[in-house]
Amino acid sequence: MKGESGRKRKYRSVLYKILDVVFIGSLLAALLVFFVFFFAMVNNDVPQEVAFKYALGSTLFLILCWFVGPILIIQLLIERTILRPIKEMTRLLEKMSGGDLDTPLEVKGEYEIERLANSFERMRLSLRALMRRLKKYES
Amino acid sequence: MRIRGLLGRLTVYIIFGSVFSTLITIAVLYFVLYITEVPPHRITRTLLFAGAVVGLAFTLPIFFVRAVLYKLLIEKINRMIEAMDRVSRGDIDTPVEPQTNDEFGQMAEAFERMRVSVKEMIVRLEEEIERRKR
Repeated sequence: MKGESGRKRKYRSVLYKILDVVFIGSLLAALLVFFVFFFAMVNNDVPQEVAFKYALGSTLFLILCWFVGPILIIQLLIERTILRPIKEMTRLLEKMSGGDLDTPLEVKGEYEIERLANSFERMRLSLRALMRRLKKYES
Repeated sequence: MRIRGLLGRLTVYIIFGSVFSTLITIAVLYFVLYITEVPPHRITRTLLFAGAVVGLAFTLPIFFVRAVLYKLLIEKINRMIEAMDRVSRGDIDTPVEPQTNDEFGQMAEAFERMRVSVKEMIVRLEEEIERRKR
């Protein structure tokens, strides 16, 4: 196959790419939250050492909350709504290259995923019809 | 800002996440100010100010996140839809280069293998038919 050699990179899930961005964002957010907390306390006449301690503690706590809460849930939703259908289609494409054009795609999705699944089924059916016609000619 | 479609759906999730994070942050700030014995009337003012800053900081990057998600997910899905529609229309000769090393790259690779093997089968059958005609 053309372009296959030397360009093969190690597999890395798209979820980790999203996590990279999320991680950097969280770090920046944590920095901001730390300063907001610190100055909120110092402006209200809390001694600086105490303010520093509390700001650090609550920032760490909040990072934990973000990661366990919203970020994890969003990751899970992306995994379930997008990546699972994509993996299912990949599996079916491998089957089709083995010559099995009869396995239907069982994927439920919304919007783009639904369109992708419809396109996939249309492609599979048209290829199957083509093969059948050719085979009938042959025999 | 497009609300419909997959990207819109993801945006809604992210907005919920941001609002939720902002609320937690404000709650923790209230708690911290409370135990450091800041007088109540000053707590309210500080919370309003800090809430505005944190809320803005958490919701504005949504546009950036949307752009990233579009590049990583939606664009790739649209590319695969295009490729499959091409094959349905009968054009089985246009290759699809896998651009990434993630799920979509794997899918594009599988698609390529499928395309090549189906094309080979078709060519073989056509040759067979040609030979029998003669």
